[in-house]
Amino acid sequence: MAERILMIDDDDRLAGMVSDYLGGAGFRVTVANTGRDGEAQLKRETFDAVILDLMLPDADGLDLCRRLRTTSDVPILMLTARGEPMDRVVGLELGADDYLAKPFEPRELQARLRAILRRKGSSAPKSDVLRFGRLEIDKGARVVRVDGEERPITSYQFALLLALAERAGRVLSRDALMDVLKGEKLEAFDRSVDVHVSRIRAAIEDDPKKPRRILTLRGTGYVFARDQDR
Amino acid sequence: MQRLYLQFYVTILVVLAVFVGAAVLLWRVADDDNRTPQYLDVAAELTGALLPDATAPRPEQQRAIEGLQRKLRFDIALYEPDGDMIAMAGKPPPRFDPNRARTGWRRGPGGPNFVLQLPDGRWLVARQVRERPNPIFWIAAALGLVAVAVAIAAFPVVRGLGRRLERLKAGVDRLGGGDLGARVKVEGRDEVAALAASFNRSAERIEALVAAHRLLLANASHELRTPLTRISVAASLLGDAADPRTRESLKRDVAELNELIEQILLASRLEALPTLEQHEPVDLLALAAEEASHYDVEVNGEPVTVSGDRTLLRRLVRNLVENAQRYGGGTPIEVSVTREGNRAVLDVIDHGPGVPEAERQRIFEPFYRLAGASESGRGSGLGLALVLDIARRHGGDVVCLEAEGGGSRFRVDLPAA
Repeated sequence: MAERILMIDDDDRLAGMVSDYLGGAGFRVTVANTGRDGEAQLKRETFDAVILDLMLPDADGLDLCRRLRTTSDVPILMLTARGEPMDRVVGLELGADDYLAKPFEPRELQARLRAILRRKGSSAPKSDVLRFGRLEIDKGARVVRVDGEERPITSYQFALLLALAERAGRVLSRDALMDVLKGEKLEAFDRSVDVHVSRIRAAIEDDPKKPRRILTLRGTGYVFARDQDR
Repeated sequence: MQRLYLQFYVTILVVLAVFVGAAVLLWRVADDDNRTPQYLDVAAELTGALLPDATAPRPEQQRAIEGLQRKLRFDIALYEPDGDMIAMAGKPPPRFDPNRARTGWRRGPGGPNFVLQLPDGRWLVARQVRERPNPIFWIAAALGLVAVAVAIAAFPVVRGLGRRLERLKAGVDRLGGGDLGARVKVEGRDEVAALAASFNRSAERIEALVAAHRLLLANASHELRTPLTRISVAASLLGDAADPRTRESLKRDVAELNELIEQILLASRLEALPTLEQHEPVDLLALAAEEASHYDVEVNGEPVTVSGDRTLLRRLVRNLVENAQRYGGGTPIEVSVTREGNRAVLDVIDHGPGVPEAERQRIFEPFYRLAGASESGRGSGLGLALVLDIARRHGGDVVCLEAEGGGSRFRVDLPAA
């Protein structure tokens, strides 16, 4: 069953290319060039997700997003040209499910789209999911996903990852980590934090040799990267 | 600060004081006029005619003086030409010295007294019985009262003017401080009111211009990124149809252009912002590690927390590492974060050709380029200027030094939280 996507973007040529690309990936894409047209389409048909450009000729994407949210819970992926963190936060506060800064790679758009579609299927409340770019840490289900795809890690490793992620952007020493994990049941006594970290890396890093998510600070400890969507 | 209203007010007070002083002085000068008025000569003749002869016995003279004293309500004393007192009525007069006496008014301790030399050479000294104080005192008091009244009346006027100017100044300061919505109340219809109105008009215009500028930037950002997005998407869609090297180079160019747009937008945005918008605690070591990881650079040091704008600090680190990579000639890059007293110090070191000493200041100027730097692979020209701007905004600074063993060492110091 092909998922139906509504793309609201005033750039015809871009919409055409994206539509072709997503079409090749098995989506059915409808394009609306204006906010009004998009709203009309949404009233007429049901869509599985909406790709919404922040800057539209006849409407502010943020306003439109807020309006859509009042009438429907269709997943919304915002395309923003600004790429400013403030805009991102605002977009999410207004009910957008994700955002992607222009210029983007179609592959990434597809991955994000799949992720929000999958999220829609699961009933986990949003607050129980920590999201860092393409990485999702689902506290409720105790699973970790990249691009919406579950990655295998052990329960202890999940606890370790969660301890790091909940303190993202701060350096944590091994001792501090051990402290946090004191209550967790150890699965193997002889494994140091470092070994667990490399296992987690193998599961969630795109290239475990060049980690971007869990970084080592020699002699100090680890830091979980706060901003992973660049 | 010299306060205008005080200057005005002190001027008014000084003018009043000078006026009163001058009036009193003038009075005294006029009083000291030594010419004997004609009427006193007449008075002397008349008095001479009124009094008994000089040869009359003293009791008779005393009676005459007493009679005169009752009629005139003057303290009167009569002297021989040589200064011996003949008769006296009322309070005793001050000591009398005929050698220095002349017909006329004299100031004295009990008020003005006048001295008349009678035609027969006797002296009569009369002093009005003091029912009211000295007229000089009265005039000075009246003038003083007027001065005080003027001073009191002038104060609110002058203070009001001062207050209005101060309010105007506060408005101008607010505008200068970045609050473009700052307006002042137009009070009255005078020059100050006109100034306030002009200020409001100017502020209106500035606000409109800045808003237009912002809109232009936002639109430019959108308009520039739209074709860029198309190029990026198109490059991906080329798939196997294109040489992977061409595709990669295309992607790099897109990324570079995007970066350039972002830096220009950030620079213009910062220009419009006088201060930091965000103040949050940031673990500088963690942030540096995160940024450096994108360049596969390791970071050493100790965790130091600084207070500031995370996005801007991220930009600062990124630009320094990017710069080191661009001009370091492929040498390993070292990044470290340390605490020195109450400062957080970030060092970014490369072992490339380094920067000649004479140019270590100038490289922080926007679009300044080292002589001989290649055209390809160059940055936006804003990278280091932004680093300097961001460091200063956080109460810190950045300097370029020579690294040990050659190369550049960029050292940022920021106040630690």
